[in-house]
Parts: sequence; C-alpha cells; structure tokens
Amino acid sequence: MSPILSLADITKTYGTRIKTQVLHGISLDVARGDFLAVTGQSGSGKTTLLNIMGLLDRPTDGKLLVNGIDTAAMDDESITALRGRTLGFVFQFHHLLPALTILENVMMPMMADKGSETPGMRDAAAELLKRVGLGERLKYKPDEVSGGQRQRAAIARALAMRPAVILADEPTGNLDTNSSAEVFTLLREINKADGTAFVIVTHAADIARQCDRIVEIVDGRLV
Amino acid sequence: MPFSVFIAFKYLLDEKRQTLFIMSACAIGVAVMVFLYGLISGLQRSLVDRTLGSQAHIILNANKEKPRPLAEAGGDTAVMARVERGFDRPQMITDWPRRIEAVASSSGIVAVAPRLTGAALLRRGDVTRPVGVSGIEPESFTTIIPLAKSIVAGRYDLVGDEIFVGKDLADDLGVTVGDRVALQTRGGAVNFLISGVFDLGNRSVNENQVFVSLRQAQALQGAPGDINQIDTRVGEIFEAERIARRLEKETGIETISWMEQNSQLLIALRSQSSSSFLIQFFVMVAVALGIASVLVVSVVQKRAEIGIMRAFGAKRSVVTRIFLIQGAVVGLLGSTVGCFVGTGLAMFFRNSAKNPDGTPRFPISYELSEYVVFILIATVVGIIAASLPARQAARIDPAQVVH
Repeated sequence: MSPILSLADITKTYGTRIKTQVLHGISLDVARGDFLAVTGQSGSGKTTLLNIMGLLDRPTDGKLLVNGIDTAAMDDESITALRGRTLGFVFQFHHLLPALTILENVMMPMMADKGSETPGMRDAAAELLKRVGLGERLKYKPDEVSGGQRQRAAIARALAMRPAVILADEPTGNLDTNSSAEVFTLLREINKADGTAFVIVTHAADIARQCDRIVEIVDGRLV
Repeated sequence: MPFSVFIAFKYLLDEKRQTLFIMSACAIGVAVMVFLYGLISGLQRSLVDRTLGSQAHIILNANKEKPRPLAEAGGDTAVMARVERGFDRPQMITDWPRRIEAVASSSGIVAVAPRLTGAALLRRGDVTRPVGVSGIEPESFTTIIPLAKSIVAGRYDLVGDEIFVGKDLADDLGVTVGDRVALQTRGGAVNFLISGVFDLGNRSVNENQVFVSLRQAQALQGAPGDINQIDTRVGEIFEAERIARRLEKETGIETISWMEQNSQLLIALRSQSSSSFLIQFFVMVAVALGIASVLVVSVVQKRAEIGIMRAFGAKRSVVTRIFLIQGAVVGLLGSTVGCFVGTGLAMFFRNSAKNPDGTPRFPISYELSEYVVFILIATVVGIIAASLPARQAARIDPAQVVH
C-alpha cells in the first residue's frame, strides 16, 4: 500500500544568522490505517515534525510526499487546499472558535473548503457530533461544555473533511484521566472503523504503548 | 452565506460590546459630518438664495460701442494715437425675439426674459430720487426674479402707465399703491400710477429700482421695439459661469453670470466649504484610526483562531475578507445610525433657534444623495481601516500560533 505521507530525509533549520537545526534527516511513512505514536522529550522536535507532516511548516531540506505528490513546489494556496482536504488536526488545547456553536465549529472546515454552507453540510456535521457522543450539544457554545466534550468536538472537526490522516499533538494532554481515556478510545475507534491514519505526538508512555507503532525522536533524529 | 461573511458576522455578534464601541465611534463621526454638512450647505443655500432673489443668473448685455481711433495706420503711415473711451451711447440687442428663442433653447437655461434698462429721476412733488428703470414683461420676468411673490402691496400687473416701486423707495417718498409719480428722462417727464410695491429682500434694489412695462420703457428711452438686456435663469446655479461663457460664444453678446458679479461671495463660500471638508476629513481619519485600532487588537486576540481556520483549509484571502467585511459592516451600520443622529441634531438646532420673522436661524439643507455619499464614504473608510489588521491576520502562520 502506498503511503499517504512519505517523509524522506527531512531537515528543519530555524534562524538565518544563528542557525538551529531541529530535525536531522527524518524519513518516515504513514499509510492508511496506521496508528502511530511519536514520542520524545520536550524540545526534541516532535511538534516541528508534526507541523511539517501537517503542511503547516515547510522542511528546509528533504522530500515530503502527500498521496505521492511532492509538496515542495506547491504554492501557499495549493498547500492550504491540500491540507484542508487530506489532513485533520487535534491539538492539546481544543482551539474551537468560541463565537461558533459546536455544530458550526465542525462545519467550519467544510465551509472553508467549499466557500460557503452547502446542502447536507449541517447534517453531516451533526452526524459526526453524534458519533463522538455530542448529538445533544449541537447548539452549545464551546464554553458551555466540559473539557472532554470540547476535545471530542475538536475530534469531530478533524473528521469533517474525511481526512486520510489525523495529526494529534498531545490530544489528551489537557484532560483528566477519565476524559483522557475516553478521547483515546474514540481515536482508536475511528481508526479501526474508518481506516483513518493517526499520528499522535505524546510524551505519555501509557498512551504511546497503546499505539500500533512508536517512533521516538531524540535531538531531532528518529531512533 | 459565504464563509468569510459568516465568520465576520459571528465575530461582530460575539464581541457585542466591542462592536458597539467601534460602531458608536463611526456613528458619532458620521453624525458630526452630517450635522456640519447640513448646517454649512443650509447657510450657503440661504445666502445664495438671498443673493439670487434680486438678480438674474446670467445677463446678456447689449455690446458696448468700441471707441475707434480717428486715423488708422496703413501703408507707410505710422499713427501715434491715444484712444480714449467716450461716454457710452445706449446700445440695443438687435433681432432680440429670435435671440431670445435661441438662448431659451440652449442647454442649462430654464427661463429667459427681455429687459430694457435705463436711468431716470423719479419725482414725487418736490422730491426727486435717481432710479434705475427696468422695462419688463411681467409674466416672463417673474420666472427670472420672483417679483410676483415679492409684491407686498397692490397687484403684479403693469397695464398702460403703471409702475412697481420698491418698499424702501415708497417709504422714503411717502407713496403707496394708487399714488402717481413722474419719471424724468432726457426726453421729458412721464407720469406713472403705482400698481404695486415690492420687497425683494435687498435694500439697495428696493430703494433704487423701479419696474414699468417694456413698451413704456421703450417709449421713455426713445427706443421703440428695442431691448438692451436678456435675463436668464439656469437649472444648476453653480454652472452659471460655464453656461455664460458658452452663451457668449454662441450669441456674440457680452454675458455676465451671477458668479462673476458676486465673486467675493463665491470665494467666501468656497473657503467655508474647504474648512468644512477639512473638518470632515479629519473626523473620518479619527474614525478610521478607531476602527483600525480595535480590529488590530481583535486580530491579536484571535491569532490562535485564525491559525486554526488556516490549518483547516481557510485561504489567506478568506482571512483577509473576514476582517475587511467587519470593517465594511461597522462603517455601513455606524454611518447609517450616524446619518439619523446627525439629522436629528441638525433638526433640533433648526427648530430651537429662530429669527424674528420666524425663519430658522440655522437653515439646514439635506439631499438623499448626500446620505448615500456619507454612507458610502464611511463604508470605504471602514474597509480601508480594516485593511491593515486584515493583512496582519492573513500573514498569521498557523504553525506559530496553534499548539
């Protein structure tokens, strides 16, 4: 099976006068159905790697293929469109837009892609929220639901465009033990049911152990 | 609804207090502009109306006789001559009915009337006063200068030897409707019956001008069938000078517009308009800065949200539009409210201070098109003010702000 994301010898250097190399020749493939944990200590380069995989940042060197397409020559607009349609994100903090209801937050990636609300969009978003157990909270604002519910809404939002890969940066880092377990279980269910690949950045060993594959970054290198 | 419009309205409605604040700032600014405009244009209109209440917009005067040298240079002969202008001999407009038709059909002209002007001494008993005598056709003349409306005693009609005299002249001579006065010219004295006393709101005209029928004036001046002046009224008063120059070219008759006759008044009006414009400009700059500063803060507060939208596929152009739309909406709604507030304030001023004759001390003048212009200006200013924060928002890099 050809990988959805293929990283070949990726490096990332910050700064112009004083250069700091954060990633050193990372090569990694993510295929459909993968459930991958990226672990490492703070400052090891996990988030930088996730940003590059998520097309939120560009590598200094190396090759990043998304569904076999080389992203190096793509302009900002094309990268944005590719990111919106192929990748989903779950962050440590839910980052739901407080001005929007839970339902509208889930509709947001669809509206951004189509340019406006289209028929069926609202129902599709409601269906996703039902799936994550928030079918009764559609009209609630993010500050009207619990932390665990917000993170589940963020997962529904990540699923909105039916992405091939969801990149999750410490998705349970801000939750209590119960909510954390619920959220992780939900991610696993989605992975099993839809075949959606997950790349989960975590420094929690128990979370990493439950993943199918673990890669560890030490000082910007995969070990 | 487009995504950018949807998010822009969500932001405006979510931050109600902030939205209300910038909208109020815009409304106050536009209210000041509307109030100032109404006041200044009302005063100017009143001033111009008073000035034009007793004079034609454009006058075509019979050409003056040009002085000729007694000897002409030519061939090998050089002539040293000093040409002196002599006393003007009365000149007339030839073939005037045809010329009046031509002027009336010229674009921009809404009314035309013939007139024969001259000078005479008006005598009542032993008292004489120098006056200007205008021979007019009452029906056409009142379309140029509202003389019919200005009759304060008697009737607006000139039959046979009837005459209109000004209120101040009548008071000075102690005459009224039904009294007789004599007009003395070089040709002799002719008696007239006062059929009307007028008040054109201009003391000089009321004291020094009398009106008789065109036929009587022609007889008085020994110029049967002639006129020496064509009076016109134009549709757009501030176009008068341009039309006058065109008429001069078309007819070959010397023309003078009210603008040329009242150049000092025009300079004053223009200075007033410039001051008003400057005030309005700086008010709009203040409004723009207010909108921009609030939106800049909003962008800073929403960095993470903008980053998330970008991460989930919102293009930079969409993010830009979200803030431009907010600026436009604030400008549009704020200025609409401002128009109402400004008009209300102006109306309050108009109704609260009156002249002794009951007319408002602050005449206010508005036109619907001006409101449209104010709202358009404020909306554009809102968009311009939002462009800086919008660009700032579009530059946000999701990788830097979302964790």
